[in-house]
Amino acid sequence: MMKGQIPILEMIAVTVILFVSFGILFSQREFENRWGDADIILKGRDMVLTMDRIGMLGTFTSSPDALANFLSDTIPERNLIYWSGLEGTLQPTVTVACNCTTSQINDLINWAGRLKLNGRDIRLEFVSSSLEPIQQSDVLLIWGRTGLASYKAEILSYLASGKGVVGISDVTSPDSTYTEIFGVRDCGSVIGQGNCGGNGDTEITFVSPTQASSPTFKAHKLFFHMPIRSLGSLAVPIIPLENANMPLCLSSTVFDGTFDFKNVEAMYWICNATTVYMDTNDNNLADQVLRENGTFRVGGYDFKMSYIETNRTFVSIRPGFRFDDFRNSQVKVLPSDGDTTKILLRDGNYNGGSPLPVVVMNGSESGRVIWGSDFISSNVDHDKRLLIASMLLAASSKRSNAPTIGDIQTGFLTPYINVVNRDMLEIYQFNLGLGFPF
Amino acid sequence: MKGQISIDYYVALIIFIFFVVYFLFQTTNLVPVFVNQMEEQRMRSETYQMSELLVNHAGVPANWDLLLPNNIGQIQRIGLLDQTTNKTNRISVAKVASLDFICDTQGQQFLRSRMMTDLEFSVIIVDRTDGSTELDCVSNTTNSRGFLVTTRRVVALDDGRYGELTMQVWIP
Repeated sequence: MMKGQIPILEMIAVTVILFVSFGILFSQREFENRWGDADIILKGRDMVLTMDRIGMLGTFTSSPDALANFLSDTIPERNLIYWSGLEGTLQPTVTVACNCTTSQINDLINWAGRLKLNGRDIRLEFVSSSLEPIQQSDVLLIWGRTGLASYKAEILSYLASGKGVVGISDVTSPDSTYTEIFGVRDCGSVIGQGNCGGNGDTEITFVSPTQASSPTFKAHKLFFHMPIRSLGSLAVPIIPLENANMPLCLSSTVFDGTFDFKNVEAMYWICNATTVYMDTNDNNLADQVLRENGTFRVGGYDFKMSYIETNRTFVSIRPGFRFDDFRNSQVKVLPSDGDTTKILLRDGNYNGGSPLPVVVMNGSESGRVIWGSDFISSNVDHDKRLLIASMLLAASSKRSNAPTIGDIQTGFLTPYINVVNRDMLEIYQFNLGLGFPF
Repeated sequence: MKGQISIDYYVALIIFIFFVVYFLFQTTNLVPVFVNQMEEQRMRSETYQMSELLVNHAGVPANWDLLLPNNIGQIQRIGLLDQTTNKTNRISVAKVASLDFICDTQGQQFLRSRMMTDLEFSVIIVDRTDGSTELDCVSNTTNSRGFLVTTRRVVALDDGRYGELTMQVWIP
């Protein structure tokens, strides 16, 4: 090797080493932070807390339009998307598939289509459905039909998917399919024909569940807490008063209506969205002024005026209520396993001492079924409307529409546990998601 | 020849000077970026902290708004939380009005001392139900560096309305 070559090689080596060292030392710097993520999380938390603090969380959970308006008011970023969901409680919309006629569907919508619980609107959406295939829904109502052998597989599959079935029929001798689905069979085959005599009582009473795990607990709880809607119609704005000392209604727009049950008709006049005048002694004269949550007594039973709106009221029935006897005398069944804790309503007892059921509930992890004697084919007063609504909601699937974060660049979910007890104690989770799609 | 410097030395010297210049250039470039980043991080966290104190702290004393106008010196810390319900994100309309009064009469220096900060800031509360401005407390000090940090909070007012609290912070 020639003289001078070695130092040149050394210099080249040193130069390369220095370049590499400096490249590492002064590499391209990027200062990343996650303040953007923190901002979305903070915004989500602020939104949900503010909804609750202004008392509108219930409204926003049941009304997508109201929620959209609130979010558009409070989110200046146009590219921020949102989604919401509810877990652990009744969904804002419960779809009921019914093998009913159009007329029956209309009746059901009129009776129980719009409900309200703890300030949230709950909508029962009735859709006409055959029994094979069954329409996409949360609960199936089979009204009047007892021969179900041809549809057994479809109905059992529907139940296995976590949904519920309500059967309303005056079934006198359930066949094996009906027994398998609804868990009822004729009394004689359960406790012997000799113990199945008698014609029950003159009234139908609730069998109060003794524990929350009882199959009947939820329907019982809903019936005695959830109010039922009563629509009023525009009336002459002069309310007839029984007592001259009662405060006058100065409103120029008055709606009147009737809350009926057991052949009792209690007339009321809606003065405005906060005040109702009630006739509690059936003389067509108002004798009591009610505000929301005010209680009244008619026909020996206690009620609560849960909500007052411009042209409608929502009344809840207090414990102790009994129905008129609506059982067809030919209907004599029992839970197929003899478990009387599954009986929600009874028409007294058989002569053998066993309760004579008119509504029986069977619950399992996969689905919930309720059988009831036919009480919705005639004289469907508010008490029976509330009963069918309670049965449908108790049987409906416990799905949650908890949102999932899909293919978006950044998104965070804010869960909020809400405890409400306006009408009924509920603990549920509201989820609000915020994120950027790009 | 004697006294002559070898070519090796020249090359080594040039390389050395090149790398010294390169090192200094990189360092002078990086340091301000680092400093700005540190300031920004501090301002962001302080903005969040100040907004949190305003939205979720009642202040000291909790009913400081009742000390106006004569006992204003007794106010130790300012917070807008409605102390009667003590619920997060629910601020008192009376306290907002009192803060507006303090901002107009006492100026930023007083507010900075009561909010434990040495940064310049502005607080604006807009009622989102009707778009009206409930509070407009802006520092007169110019933001000469042209850099500020903004935090927006959604709040409920204790009279049932809701609004947005915008807090901006900068170094004078």
